[in-house]
Amino acid sequence: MWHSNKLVKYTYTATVSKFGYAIVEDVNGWKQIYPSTPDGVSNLFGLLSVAKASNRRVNVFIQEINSVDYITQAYLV
Amino acid sequence: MSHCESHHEHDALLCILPPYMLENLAEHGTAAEKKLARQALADASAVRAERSAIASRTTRSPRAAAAVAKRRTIYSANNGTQLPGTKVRGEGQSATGDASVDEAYDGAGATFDLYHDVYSRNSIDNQGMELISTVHYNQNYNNAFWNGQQMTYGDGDGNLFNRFTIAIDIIGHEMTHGVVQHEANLVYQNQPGALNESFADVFGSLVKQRSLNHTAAQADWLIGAGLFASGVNAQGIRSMKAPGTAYDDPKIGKDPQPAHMNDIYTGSGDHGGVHINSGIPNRAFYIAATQIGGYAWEKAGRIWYETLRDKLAANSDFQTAANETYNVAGALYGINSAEQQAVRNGWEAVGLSVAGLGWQTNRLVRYVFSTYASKSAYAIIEGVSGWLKVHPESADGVSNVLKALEIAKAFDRRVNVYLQNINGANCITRIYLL
Repeated sequence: MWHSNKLVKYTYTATVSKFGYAIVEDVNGWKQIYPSTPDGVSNLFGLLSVAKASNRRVNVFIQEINSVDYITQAYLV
Repeated sequence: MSHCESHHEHDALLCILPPYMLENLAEHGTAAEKKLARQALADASAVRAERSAIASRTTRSPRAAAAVAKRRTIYSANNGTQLPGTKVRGEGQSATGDASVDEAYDGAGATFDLYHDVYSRNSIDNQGMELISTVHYNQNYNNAFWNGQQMTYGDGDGNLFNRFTIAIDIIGHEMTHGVVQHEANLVYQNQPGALNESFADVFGSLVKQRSLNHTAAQADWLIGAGLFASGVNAQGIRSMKAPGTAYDDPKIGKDPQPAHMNDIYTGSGDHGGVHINSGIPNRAFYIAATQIGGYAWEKAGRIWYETLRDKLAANSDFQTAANETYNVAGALYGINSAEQQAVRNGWEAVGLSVAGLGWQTNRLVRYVFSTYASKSAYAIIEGVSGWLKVHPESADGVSNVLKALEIAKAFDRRVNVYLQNINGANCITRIYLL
């Protein structure tokens, strides 16, 4: 499901592989970037962090995978 | 150049009296006092060279157990300068009736007991080192020193200074220079040198407090109380409670110690202010100890001792000491315990923000550094000493943390970072972009 024109509240990462989270405006709780590939997680994490730091809005796609909601796509708008 | 001063940090004798006090006396004292001050300031290259050789070959004390036995030997220099001199009292022998001899003997015993009974340390080197002291050094000699191998005490001139064994904290101070030499071996210059002096004051004071059974609240927190003869406007050599207030006298000058980083001495005299800037960590310890309460040697002393023993190195500075005492307090008494908070309060009161391990919240990113090598990224975080490595756990994980750091730096955003000691290095392992 797309959540459009939202602010990124926080981002969080660690040194473990494929590990990135964000809190997006009007989306409940921390959402993990779907840990499919290392560079894919890095790309989405970078996009969300730039949005957060610059107060830019995003469109994010929240997708349920194995009963967990993940961030799988994002536009920087 | 003074007996206690040279161009090289390893050549220094570690004296209880700072050179500037004697220099004031050499300028403002009576003719006799000037002569004695100049004598005390006279170059003693042979002694310094010996100190240099000993310090340079000293390594951190081993942890292996050695037989515990207090072995005190007191010598008299018979008012000469040959060390160690003539043996006048050995371990277990009865008092001699010579105050200097017996005070040196008892003071060495009290210092050994503090380190052994409270911190399980077996003498200066943790290997049962014989405690050698020489009294009656030189004629009317106004100082006491650790030369890398033994303690030495002057008689004082009897006019401005009493005998230097009169204050048990001076004895504890000198012996602690030996402990420092066998642990962190802090370089006797600038902030590491001031830490060297401060640790000597801290444990000198604790020897005195324990001998008097004083709590932190009862202690006077003076170094060298009783050393000055009547008529000198001095409570002691230094005040750990109120640095800069120990003395103010026309002959010996005014206590120059700062009590806050804002007033830190940055000149080159006194080996970069080793006896001056020690007021800053001294006061941090005083505040921590009094806030913790009870007997200062039990908790505050243990925190400082374990930091000296395990955490500091030759070039450690005040910020490192602040961070490490905070970490040790957390390890000993619990993260965010009252003891750890007291340590934080002590350092913050003298102008040092403590950065321990764990979460460092709401910080700016000062600098970010990376190379073409894989998993190679570093940052400097506000309030944290030195470069921090991004833990090289995974290539993409390092890239993600680096990205957060870069963005925070570029956009002046704040972060929460989690610091962990990994293989001896403080590393960033997690980060929130705020």
